Amino acid sequence: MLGRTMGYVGVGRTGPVVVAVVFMPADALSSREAERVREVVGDGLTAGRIRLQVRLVPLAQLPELGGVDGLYVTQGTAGHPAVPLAARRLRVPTVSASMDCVQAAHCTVGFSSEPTVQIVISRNAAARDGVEFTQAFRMLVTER
Amino acid sequence: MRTSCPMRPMPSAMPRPQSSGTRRVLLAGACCLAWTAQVRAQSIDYGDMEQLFGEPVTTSATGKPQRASQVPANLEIITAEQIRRSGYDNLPDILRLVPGVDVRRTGFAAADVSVRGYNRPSNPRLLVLLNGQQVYIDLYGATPWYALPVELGEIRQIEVVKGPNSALFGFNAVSGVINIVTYDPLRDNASGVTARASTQDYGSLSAFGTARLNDRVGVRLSAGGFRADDFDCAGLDPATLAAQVRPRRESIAMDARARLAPGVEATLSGSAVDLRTFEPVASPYYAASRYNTDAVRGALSAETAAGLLGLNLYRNSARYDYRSGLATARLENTVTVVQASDTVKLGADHTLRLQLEYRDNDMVEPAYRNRFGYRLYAGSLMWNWQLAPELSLTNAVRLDRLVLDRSAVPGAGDGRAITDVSFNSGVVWHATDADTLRLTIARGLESPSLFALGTRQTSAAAGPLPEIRLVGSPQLDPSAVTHGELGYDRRLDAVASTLRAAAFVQRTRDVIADPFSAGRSLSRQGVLYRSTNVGDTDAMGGEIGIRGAASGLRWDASYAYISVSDSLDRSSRLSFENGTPTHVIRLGGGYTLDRLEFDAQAHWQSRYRDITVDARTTQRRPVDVPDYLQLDARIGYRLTDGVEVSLTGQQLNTPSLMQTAGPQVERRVFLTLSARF
Repeated sequence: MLGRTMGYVGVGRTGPVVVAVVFMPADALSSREAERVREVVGDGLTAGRIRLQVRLVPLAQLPELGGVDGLYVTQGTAGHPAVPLAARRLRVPTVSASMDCVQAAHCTVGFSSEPTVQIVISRNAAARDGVEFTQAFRMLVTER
Repeated sequence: MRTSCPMRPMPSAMPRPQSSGTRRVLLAGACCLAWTAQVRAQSIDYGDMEQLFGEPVTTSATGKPQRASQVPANLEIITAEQIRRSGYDNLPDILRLVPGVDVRRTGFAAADVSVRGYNRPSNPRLLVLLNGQQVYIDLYGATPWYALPVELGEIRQIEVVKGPNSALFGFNAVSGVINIVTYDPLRDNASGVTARASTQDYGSLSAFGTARLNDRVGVRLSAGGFRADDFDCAGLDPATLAAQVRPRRESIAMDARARLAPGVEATLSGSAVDLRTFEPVASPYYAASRYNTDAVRGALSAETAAGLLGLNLYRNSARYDYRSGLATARLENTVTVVQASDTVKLGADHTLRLQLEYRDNDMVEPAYRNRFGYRLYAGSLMWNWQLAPELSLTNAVRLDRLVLDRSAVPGAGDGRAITDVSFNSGVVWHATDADTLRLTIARGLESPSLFALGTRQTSAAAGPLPEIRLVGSPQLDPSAVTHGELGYDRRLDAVASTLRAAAFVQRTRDVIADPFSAGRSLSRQGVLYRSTNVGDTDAMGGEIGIRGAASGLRWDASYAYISVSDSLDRSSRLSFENGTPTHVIRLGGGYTLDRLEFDAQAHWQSRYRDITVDARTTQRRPVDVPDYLQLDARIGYRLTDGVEVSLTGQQLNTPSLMQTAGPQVERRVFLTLSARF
């Protein structure tokens, strides 16, 4: 399974994908969401071609963050200016369950799963963070 | 199989309610990360996209990757899981699960399939593809379903597009398109063996497997075959019966894919099939048929700044031998196809797809020293515009120019060219989260088959029979189908189901009658049958169905209606308005309890009129096929996670059933043992 996943990731990303879960310790909702994420992923979660691993990162530590492939933005941190700054520095996408975050171009990708799966990409945020997506994927999602 | 993501394949083209939660969002996000340009994976990964979006993804409607619920066409997808649970061992029976698909079983290993009426032997109105490569044979423009180089176990999904789609696929996509998609050896781990034994002294063995040589190269191999006794054909005349053979099939196929560089992939595939069967071919005349087909294909795809570039080159060869009470003959066909395409998203809302196609098609009738063919040049453009998040407009247009080769056929020596245009246009409106409306109009083109254009067969006078000549006509025009359709999908979360409804009107102009269905003329030499265009025919109808699943239970019900009105020349031997069943009802259900599965299907259709023929006199006569009910069921037991044994019964309600004017279809009961690893 791991080999298949790595094959799907392709050249240049043959190992696990590490995502920083950005949370605000003082915000109970944000902390709870970050903990939920850690519980679900545990030691790692296979999703399609990648092996997802997460690292919980307080918002205040974002400026020093390195070695991650993406940022998962919890509630309460979505609108903070440190998030797009870190994404641009690291050149990684920011992912959120908050569509408002994408609408405001603070996040690159927003998801919702109810009632059906919706994926929205902010073209402005992607351009700002230096993140590109494949043509096929772009054809399947909503770009704004 | 892919088991890592939380969403399972959907039972239909519409999404069903999804579970919410952090896990789901995370997985979606993780899948998304895999699509960033840093990763630069590949073009289309059906499995991963299905997991990501919670519904199947297809390219069969417009050429662009789309979620099944968003395509501007009436699309049904049969998943691998549905194929497995159906218990059926052949594609025509599986396709019958789709409302509006008409299947006529004319023998144990012989069936004709049509979408929305107009079924007949060697139905030429349906385009059938295997991973985008045509598998219908251009001789008659028909699909020998049992000669397809694919094993059921290696099929990921079968995509059925109802209505014309010529603007994307070209000629013959007039009543619909069926694209069979197999597992991808570069991305899927899928291997299995299936053995079956049943009544009719039937035995079959099928195996397939994928293997990755390394991260960059994957290979899928498959092989299969069966032997059986045909149904009791005692009703046929002795001359025809004398030609009968036992159905038998052997098939082998290979599909290798390599990632040459980030975003660049190459495909090399090949197959060979040997099928012997007893069937009516292009006419009610039964004949012993033998198909020897082989195919080779090379393809290249590249993700570039200019879009998804695709180059597809394949060559299909078919040798068809038939022996009937009237004649023995061989026909050979070779078609070489080159397709180049670019699919690109411009800005946030526009997707364009440009395709160029070249086709060299050749038919040989060695016994009659006849060689005939044509070259086809085509260009098409598709434009998809996302007008608003809930509203999209898709337009596609294609220009075909078909140039007949110089040959000995009178009338073709001047290199006659046929130039014609087809189009598809569709609006999809997601009116609410639960409601989707689809309005489509289209003009499709059915090219005359090679046989209709250029055959020159002669049967010498024998006994009471005069000399019979079958003559193609290079002067035939394509048949044009104009189609309008309104579709409505509604998610019914309260009952975990999806409702689908569609209504359509359709006009077919210049119906093509090949020599088997054209009128005859008498001369001093004997009887002459010459291809001709014979008039127009209109159809209207629709389908409504519901499908759902919850708590181990699954259900589906559908009703299809079609009314056909012909304005055909009296000399023609075609009759669609009487030859199409007006009403079809299907009911299905199933239940999974731990390791045990039970599924059942009921199919009822109203009467229609078929044609039979006496091989001694060549006289045709109509036969009324009464309405009938067919009950099928399967019970399966999972011995281990990968090993399953099942018992399938087809036509449990009656030992024999008149489904056509040909031999009655017999009850089948078979045992299946399958292992997946």
